[in-house]
Amino acid sequence: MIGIFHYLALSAVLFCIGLYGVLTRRNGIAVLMSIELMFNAANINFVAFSYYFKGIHFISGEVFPLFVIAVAASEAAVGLAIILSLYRNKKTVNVDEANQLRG
Amino acid sequence: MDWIKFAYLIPLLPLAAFLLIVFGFRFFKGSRISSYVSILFNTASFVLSCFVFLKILNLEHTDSYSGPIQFSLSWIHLHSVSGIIPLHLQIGILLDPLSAIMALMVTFVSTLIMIYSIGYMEGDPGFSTFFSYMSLFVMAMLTLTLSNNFLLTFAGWELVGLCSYLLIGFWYKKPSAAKAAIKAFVVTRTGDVGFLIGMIILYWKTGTFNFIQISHLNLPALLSGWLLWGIPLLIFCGAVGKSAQFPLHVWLPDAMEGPTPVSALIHAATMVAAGVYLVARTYFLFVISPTALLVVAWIGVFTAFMAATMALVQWDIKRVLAYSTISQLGYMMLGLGVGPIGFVFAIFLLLTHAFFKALLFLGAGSVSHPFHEEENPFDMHHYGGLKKKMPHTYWTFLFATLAITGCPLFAGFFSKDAVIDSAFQSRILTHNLLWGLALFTAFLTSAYMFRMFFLTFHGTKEPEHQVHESPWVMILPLMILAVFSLIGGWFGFSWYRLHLPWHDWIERFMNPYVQLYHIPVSHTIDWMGMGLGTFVFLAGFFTAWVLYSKGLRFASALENPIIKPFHQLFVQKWYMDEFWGLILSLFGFGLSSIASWIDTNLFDGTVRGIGMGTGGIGLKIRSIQTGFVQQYAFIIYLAVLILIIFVVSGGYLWTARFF
Repeated sequence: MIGIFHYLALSAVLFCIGLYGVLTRRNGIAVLMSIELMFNAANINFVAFSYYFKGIHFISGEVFPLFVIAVAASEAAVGLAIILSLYRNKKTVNVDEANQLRG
Repeated sequence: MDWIKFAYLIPLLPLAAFLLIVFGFRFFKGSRISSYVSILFNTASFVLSCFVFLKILNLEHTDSYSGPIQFSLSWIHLHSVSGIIPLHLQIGILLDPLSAIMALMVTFVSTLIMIYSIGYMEGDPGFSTFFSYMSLFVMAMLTLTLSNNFLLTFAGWELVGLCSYLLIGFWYKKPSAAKAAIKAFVVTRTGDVGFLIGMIILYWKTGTFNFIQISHLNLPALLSGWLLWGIPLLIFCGAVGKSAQFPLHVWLPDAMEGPTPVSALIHAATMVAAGVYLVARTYFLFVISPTALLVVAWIGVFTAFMAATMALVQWDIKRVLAYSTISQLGYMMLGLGVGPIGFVFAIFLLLTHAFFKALLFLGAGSVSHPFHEEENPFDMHHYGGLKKKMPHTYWTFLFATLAITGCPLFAGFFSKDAVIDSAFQSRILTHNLLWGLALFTAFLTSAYMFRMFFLTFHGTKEPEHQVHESPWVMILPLMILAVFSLIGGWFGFSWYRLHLPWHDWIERFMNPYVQLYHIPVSHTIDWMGMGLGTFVFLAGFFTAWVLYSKGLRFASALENPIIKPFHQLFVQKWYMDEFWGLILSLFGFGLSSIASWIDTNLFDGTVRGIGMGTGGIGLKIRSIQTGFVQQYAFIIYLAVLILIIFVVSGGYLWTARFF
């Protein structure tokens, strides 16, 4: 029997993979993809809670992921645009090269 | 149309000229347009003053004058909060004989001076700037003249001070001019402090700034003890500074560094007249206190005497005139100080003095015009025998000299000698002494004025320069002023009762004041006053003639052991500059060095310490900013982790005990 804990475990695993990717990957596009993983971990949480604690007011738990997906798409567009201009200027997508703001 | 409703435009028109020149500077620069703008607006203001003046004259003539006319706007209105006096400030104008005739004089004389300035300032790189300042100056003077309350008067008062600073330091690249400007500003400001304090105490006691309202109050009951004489004397402090009375007269001779038309404006129509006008305007405060009147009278007569002695030994023509102004202002203060009997004559002297003093300064400017290549074009050592070369200047200058020395039939004879005589007739304490000193000063006045006159125009000396008459634009104002130096006095005959149709015109015009202050009107011919006035005039004239025109340069007499110390005293200006220097170096310098120490070590030290501390910390921790986004993200992750552990483990319960 698959219960809520399975979903939460999946979500936690996804989140940690995403976090690890964000912190360790040097490729900008890979960092963006890792961020998407973290978003989706959150979405799974939303849906899972919504399913297991059903009630008339819990419809928001199913609607919210739609908004998150929309925002994530916009974020990805902006993020890719930044990486594109980074590539134009530096001829690389390595985020370690973008350190002009260093103190 | 009732022109009197537009009286508020009188000060606003010169202001408009100022703004027009300032904002149109780009287009006017170097051209004569700015002077035309100034003169046009100023003339309009003069015409308006004429209408107002005639209206008041007409009201008086038909006996329908019912007190001063006021127009005011509410400016700031704060209601009374417990324990605090309600604040109700107004801006408004006050039209009565005093302000109407003063506005007329100011606009008339300043217009003539501006016309003269077209010729005098020709080719000066600051031509437009000069006319904008002049317009602002006239506006400031008219504001304080027509204001109906202390606050607006004070605003105009300070604006006059600012304009005098700007104009005295007009040639600011010359160090002496810059210094003179600062001196004028600081010295007059010293007196202003007293004015401000007196004004505030008066408001605290009466709850209003309005002149008319205050004058209707029962002041002796409201102002008890020392306030009765303290408030008028505090306000008099301001007048002492502005009108260059002893001991704050030191700025006026140095103010000669400005262009000559500025000197004429300052000495005749605006700056120094403001002090006398202030005392006249607030005279209701002075009449209730004999102490205050006595102080005013003695300061006045002593200033008159002291300035006259200094004028005797000056070689700079403008300085002679500066000291003569101080001396004449002393007479005006004397006239106000001897009580209501001299009030009208003091105002009369103020008006007539404006004509002949403006004429004297403009004449001196005309004389010095050919000498502008000299280091000091005003040094009388260069002059002599100019009578033939400059006939127009000569004759107009002669008129002014006769007017100021009190030659019969000229303006000074009726105004200045009337002031002296009112000192004799007054019932004030020591009035005989005051009168004697004033009469002796009249002798000195005649002597130093004719000394200057003979040294400049007579003698056989051939000028080194190609001397020529000044252009017409400069001569014309001289001639108009010369006419007024002659006939200006004929409007104040009442003292002598010679029966011309307009014989006691000034006294009738000032009738509201005559009634307000219960001025006794004498209807007898004062032969003694007339005779003595004429006598001292002739005595001074002959003294100067013998010593200077006859060529008896009394160089040997100066070595006389009795005369020499006096001569030295006068040449050194009674050591007043040294006196102020000593006071400043003793008190001012000591105080300021303490303040400086506290400032550099305590305040600056604290501020610098904070600044350097912040900078140091910043230097130490700047290495945290690596620029690697992933490091930042890692730190955020760690922080969130710690927070989660903190919350989950119930750490907040443990921390809560501390709060």
